[in-house]
Order: sequence, then structure tokens, then C-alpha cells
Amino acid sequence: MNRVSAAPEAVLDAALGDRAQATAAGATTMTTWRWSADGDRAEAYPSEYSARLDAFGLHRYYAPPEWGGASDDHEVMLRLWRTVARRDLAATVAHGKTYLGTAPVWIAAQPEQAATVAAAVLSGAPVGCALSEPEHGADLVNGSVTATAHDGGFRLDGVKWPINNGTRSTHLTVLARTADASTARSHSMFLIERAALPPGSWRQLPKVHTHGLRTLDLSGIEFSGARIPASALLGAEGTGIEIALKSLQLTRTMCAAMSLGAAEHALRLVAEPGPRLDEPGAGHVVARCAALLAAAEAATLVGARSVHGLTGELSVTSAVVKSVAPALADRVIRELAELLGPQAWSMDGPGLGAFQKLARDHDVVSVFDGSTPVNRASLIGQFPRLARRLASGEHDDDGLAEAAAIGAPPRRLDRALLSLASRTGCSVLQGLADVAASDPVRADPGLARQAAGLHAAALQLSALMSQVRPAPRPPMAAYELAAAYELCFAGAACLHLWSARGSSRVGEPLWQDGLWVRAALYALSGPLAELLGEPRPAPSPDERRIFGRLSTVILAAAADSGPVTPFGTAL
Amino acid sequence: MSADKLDEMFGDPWDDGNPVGYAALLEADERAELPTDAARLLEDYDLGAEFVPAERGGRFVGVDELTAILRTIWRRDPRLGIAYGHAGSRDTGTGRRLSGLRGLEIGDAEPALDAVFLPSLLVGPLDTALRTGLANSFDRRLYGATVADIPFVRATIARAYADLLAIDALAPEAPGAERLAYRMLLEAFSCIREVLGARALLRSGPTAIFQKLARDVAAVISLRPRKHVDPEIRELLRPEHAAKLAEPELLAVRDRLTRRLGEAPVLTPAEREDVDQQLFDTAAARYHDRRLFDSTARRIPG
Amino acid sequence: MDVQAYLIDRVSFYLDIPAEEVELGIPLTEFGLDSVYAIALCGDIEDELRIGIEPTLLWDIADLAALSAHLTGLLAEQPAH
Repeated sequence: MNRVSAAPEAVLDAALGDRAQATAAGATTMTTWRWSADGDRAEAYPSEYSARLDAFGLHRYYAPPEWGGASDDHEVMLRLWRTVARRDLAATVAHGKTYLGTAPVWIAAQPEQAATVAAAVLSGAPVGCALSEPEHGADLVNGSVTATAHDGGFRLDGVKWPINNGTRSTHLTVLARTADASTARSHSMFLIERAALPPGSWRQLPKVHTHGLRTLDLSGIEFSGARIPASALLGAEGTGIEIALKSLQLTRTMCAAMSLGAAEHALRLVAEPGPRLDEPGAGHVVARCAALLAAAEAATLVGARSVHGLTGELSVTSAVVKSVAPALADRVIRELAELLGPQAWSMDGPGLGAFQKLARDHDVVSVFDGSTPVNRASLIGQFPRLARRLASGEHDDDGLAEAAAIGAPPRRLDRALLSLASRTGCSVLQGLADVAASDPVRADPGLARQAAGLHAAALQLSALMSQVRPAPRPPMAAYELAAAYELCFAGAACLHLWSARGSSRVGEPLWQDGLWVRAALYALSGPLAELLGEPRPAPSPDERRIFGRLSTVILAAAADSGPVTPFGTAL
Repeated sequence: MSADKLDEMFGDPWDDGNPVGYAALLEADERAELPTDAARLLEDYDLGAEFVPAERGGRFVGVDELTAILRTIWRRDPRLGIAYGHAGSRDTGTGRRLSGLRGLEIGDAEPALDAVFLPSLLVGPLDTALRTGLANSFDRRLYGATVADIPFVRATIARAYADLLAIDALAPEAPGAERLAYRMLLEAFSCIREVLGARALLRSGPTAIFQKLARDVAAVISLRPRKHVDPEIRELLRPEHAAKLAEPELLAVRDRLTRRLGEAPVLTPAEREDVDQQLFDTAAARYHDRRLFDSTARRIPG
Repeated sequence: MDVQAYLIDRVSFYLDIPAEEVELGIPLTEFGLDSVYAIALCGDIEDELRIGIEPTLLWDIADLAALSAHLTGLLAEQPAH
């Protein structure tokens, strides 16, 4: 692995402190682990955690380098978020919200607007994004907050809720209606500076109390004739929905870091040495979960690198990654909860009751910023082209190669390449035939067999997808095909990363004889078969052997606080 | 005494002013305290007598009747189900605090959970969760129609309903039935969470009862032994119970079970779409008619 | 390539209506082709006509007749295949 890009992760992890500190007898210092547990109980904003992340300089990743930010590399940012997320999802979301809030700015702002926001971000100010409304959720086109032309500027009226960083943010990007019709050109994006809003023209709404991510500053704003200058308009009037959708392509892809963190944390909690692991079947559960997590990691890393190398495909990538990562993590968390028994939900369980917190926090991740059904509907809308290209196998070789080159500095992100309908479909999945036939895959007959099986499933899927008629209210069967597409993407990502590894990774236990990729493909095959309406294949002796080996490797790694995923790091 | 009587005593759970309604139960949950008004109601009702056979001065006449009565409690608050689950009320001894069943301290053994087949009792909170999902779907408008008009929502609700029917029809003595039921319960809650969207996560408002019940059910399930045996489909359903199901419901139940067990589906995609539609319609009718989703289809307050 | 006939064929497929009922002179959203369809239709047009367009073109165009004229114009500008 490239040492340069691994370094920031390790530095951040060290700054967040040792796990043993949290529960060490006689520990008197407040550690980040204690902050997480106590903060969740008290529902208190993670200010100390945030300050620790600011001290590291995590906020400097939220502005592009051309505006003074530290780095453009979305793989690095994903890894940094994951490092935090495997300790505290809420602290990650609270801090990372500024990246989400400012995404519209780097897409559409005038230089003066971008400079203002960059200055705020680099000074550590939180920025929020106000898209949702109480009655409209992800249905942006029907939003009712209005921006009425008034006296050279605009007047804002209506309620935006819920907003993350709703109270603390110094700036907000706000989507508001600038025309009556119910079309995608009726809204515009605005950049609001809270301090500049006329007093009395807006009202803070109270904190929203949630099942998970309890410590977030989640609240709302009610505008009543709030005057904003013409210079608050971001991009051209009527481009609000377009800017919002493009912003979401970036943020949805990156949110998968939360799922990777939550599932890794869960796995480490369960894999701690103890009598629980002696129960029959425990090792197999641990192995299957580790395999699903590896698949989620592959999909997410390839997704983050696709931001650079396959920018025009993010309309597909973001929808897939934002669905598959939480879906796989949900499955992992549920299976591990069963293994943990009452300790899963204990407030005083292992890690200061960490499992029940991460599970509740992760429940929110599947829903926010585009729930799984919303993302699948978006994918279904692109089925005709995706089906055609999955059958033909045409894809962007260069972009795919870059997406699979983990650790290599990627090309600069050109936001002008973002498109609402990926012209080239999805190269990751369309490149499956080629990678299945590649030398590194063919070198292992067992892996080659699995890759061929995945390819056959993908072709079957493509035929089924081509029969789906895009519609605003697709049938349930189409959602199941979307879910199958996501699993195929994850499997393909695994194969691309295996094939691209070169001579690195020799000697690493998870990589020995392709252990992780073989296990990941086995773990994906059951759920995939079910979605395609087939019986689940019975585990072969080979599959049992692979999971047996993986269980040993993972338990040893966890006992040593070593990496538990192919591209993971020690904790 | 009967389930109808107990429901009548509890009254309309959706009435925010009801001292033993969902709002009150949620408020006690937020404070990690047991709801004292509801506890007193159960003492007045003398729940303990329901476990004692008639010939010994009690009111027990059969498992089905007892199940119906207990479900009335579990539909509203599983914590009460545990606290008052057997003769007399239980000590709050020292034990663990869980993120569900707040206000209870859970010891290593919970005798309340052995009295009746636990999955059968958990049909109670699932009924409420399903009802919450339907209420939300009919109330909210998205993309120019009510949420209940969206095919994905209809199918998801239909399948959660089929899961409820399946769990209700399970033979307790069938090997592997218990653990299968727990997995189906948790998945049914996940389905309803998907339908509720962000509203599944709010601790206030008309859907708030959902997140509490989800936590309570997960906590209860976690207390049961982990042993798992692969079930045999043929043995899973109680024949007399399955015979009472209408044809679309029986097909849906068998389809859910075979898929879960990794076998070839019993329905073609077209048949599945039809069955989903029919089950949604039945569930919607039960909801609008204020009837339970289980096989009793009993009328309830609300 | 009869662009107009192609568009009518695609729209009739999406909306599941007979070709005769596809309206050429009214805004797309008014007969049910909302922004969701724009994505799919854009993809079909690009793949079939081998030109590059964005779905936002479908948001901005007045009606199918105008779309047909615009696409025909784009095709005419291209060098022959």
C-alpha cells in the first residue's frame, strides 16, 4: 500500500487514542471512547470530539485545494472518516456535515462566494445544508420553501427541517423555490450567511430527538420574509435541483464511510477473545460478517476513487454505494447482534455499551441523505442504459483502472464532469467480463469459477433489467433488481481490486491465496441468488474451508487490534 | 376477563391525553422509568389470575385466550409484558440496563419469557409497528400521491404483514421455529422502518412509538438462547392455523418462509406481485376497520 | 433516422400508451413525462442517436416537437458516421 496516503489515517487514529484507555482500571483521563458513551447518554453535542478533529485538521479536507483545502483525494477523506466512524458515527457525521453543506458551493459558486465559504471552512466553522422539509423529505421538486424576488434580492419563506448543524452552522446552502410550476427548473440554490439574516425574519426550531445519532445538532429553521441579497444566489436561477442532485452524488458516495466504520466497530467488539466465540457456529458468523464487510469496503473504496476517475458515472455509483454499504453493514450488525445476545443492547456492554450505540447510529445512516428506496428508485430510472451496457460489457478502461488503484494519488476532480445520467453507464460492473478473464483471476481456478458465476448472474440481471419500464413509481420487483445490481457491483469491485493488487500485499493473511476476495464472493452469492429468485446454493466444502480460514485470521487480527479488512488499518 | 376487556381498560393508545396511551408510555420510556399508571391498571386487572387454571380459582382457560390477553399488553409496551409476565409482579433485581426495555434491569434469566411462546407475544408490538407504518403511509403525501400509493411501500407492508401471519401460525414445538421467528420479526421491523423513512427515527410525533418498540423487541429477543437448528418447512406451521388463512395469505406465508430458508420460491414474479397487492389490501382494510392484523382480527380501540 | 418517430416510440413505451396518444405540442411534464423519465429518455436518445445530451435538456425543452427539431439539428451538425 502506498505509504504516503496511509499516513494521515494513522496520524488521526493516534490522535484519537487507545481503546484500552477507555476501560483501563484506574483510568482517570477523559478519552474519546468515554466522550462517545457519555455524550450519547446525555445527548450532548460532541464539541470536544470536534475540537480534537479540528486540531488534526480534518476540516481542511472539506474545501478543494484550489480554495486552500488540504487535499482533493476522496479516498483519503473516506479513510479519515472511517477512522473516526469506527469509534463514533455521530462525531463523524457532525463534523463531516460541513463537507455535505459546502458541496453545492464548489459546484456552482462564483469565485467571491467560494472564497467566503472557504475562509469559513478553513477556520473550522460548520456549514449546513438545508434541502429537506417536514412534508417533503427527498421529494425536492415539490419543496415549498420559497425565494421570492424582492427589491433586487430575495425573500425567503417557509420551513427547512431537519438540518444537520442547524444551530451551529455559520453558513447554509438552501434550496428554495423560485417559480411556481412543479418542474425541475423551479428551484434555486442559495448561500445564506446566518449572521447577515435580518433579526426577527427567521426562527430557530428546536433540536430533533432521534433514535440514533442523538448528539447531532439536528434542528430546523423557519424563514418569515427573510431578506437575502442577490449575491446569495448560487449558480443560475432555476438550477437548484440540478446542483442539489450533483452535490448528492458526491455526498452519498462518501457517506458509505459511516457504514464501514460502524460494521468494523461491531466486528471488533464481537471478535474480542472470550467464551462467546466457543459457541458452535460463532466462528462462521464472524467470518461471514468479515466477508460482507470486505465487500462493502471494496465497493466503497472503488466508489470514492470513482469520484475522480469515473466522475461522469456518479449518478450510478452514488446510488449504488449509498444503498449497498448501509445494506451490507446492516446485515453485519444484525448477525453480530444475534451472536452477542444481551450484551448487544446493554448500556454497560463491551466497549462502554458501544454496540447498542453504533447500531442505533447506523439505523439512521440507511435513511439520511437519500434513503435506500430513494437511491434504488434513482438507479431504476437508469436501468435501460445500464442493462444495455451490462450486456455489451463496454466500459471506460482508464477510469476503471484509476478507480481500482487504491492508494495511488488520483487525478484532480473536475466537477464540470458531473452528469445527471451517466453516459457510460457503470464501468465497474460493465468491466466484469474483462476482469473475470484477467490473468490474476484466472490464476486461481476457484476464484475464476466464482467470477464466472458472478458474471452469469450479472447477465441474467441485465436481461431482467431490460424488461423494466422506468416510471415514477416502479414496481417492487424493480427494487429487488436494483438491490441485485448493487451486490453485483460489490462483487465486481472485489475482483477489480484483487486483479489490480500487483505484487503488494504478499504475506498479508487476508490476502493469502485470495482469502478475502473468495470469501466476499461466497458471502454475496446467497443474497444475490435470493434477489434473482433462485434457491440459495448450499455451502460447498470449498466455501466452508474458506470461511474457516477467514474466521481464524479475523479472530487473530482482532485480538491484536490489527486490520480486519483487506484495506483496513490497526485500531 | 378477556382481551377485549383489557383493551377497553387501556383505551385508545393514540390519544395523547390517555394516561396509559403511547404518549404516556413513551414519556416514561424517555425517563427510563416504568409507566406507573399502566402498572396500576394491570394490578387492578389482576393479570396474575390469567395464569392460574379456573379449577384453582384463576381465569386460565387456554393458551390462545392467554396469548390474546398478553398481546394486548405487549402491543402497547413490552416492558409491562416482562414486568407482569407471570404470577405477581417481579422484583427489579440488579441486572443490566439495555437500550430497549428501559426502566427494567434485566437479570440473566427472565421467567416471564418462558410462560408462553415468546414469538407469539411479539406479534403484539409488530402489530403496532405495522399499524404505525400504515397510518403514516395514508397520512403522508410524496411525489404527488399518498405514500400508500407507492408500489414499493405497498409490497413492503404486504410482506411485513405476511411475516406477522407466519409468526402467528408457527408451531412452537417445531425445531428451529423460535429462532426463525426472531429473525423474521427483526426483518419485519426493518421493512417497516424503510416505509417510515426518517419518521422511524423520531422520538416524538405520531410515529415515535415505532422506535421504542423496535428497541424493546430487539432487547427481548437478545435474551433468548442462541441455539439454532435448521427448520423443516413442512413442520413449521400449525395445520389448524394454516387452514384458517385465506388462499393469498397462505401463499404469501409459504413464500416468505421458503425464501427465508433459501429454497426455490413458491410464487412466480407475477403471482408474487398479485399476492402482495392482495395482502396490502387486506392489511389496509384491517387498519381502516381498527382490527388486529393477527388471525383473531379483533376490533381494538383507536 | 426519423427522430420524431423514435421519440414517439420511446415515450409510448415509458408511459405505456399507444403511439397515437403521444402529444407533440404540449410540455413534457403535462402529459406525465416528469423529471424521472428525463434521465431514462436522455440515455436512450444518446445511445440510439449517438450524440451527447444532458437530461436537463429535457427539463428545458418546450415540447416533443421542439426536442425532435433540436436533436435533428444536432445530428445534422455531426460529421457522417
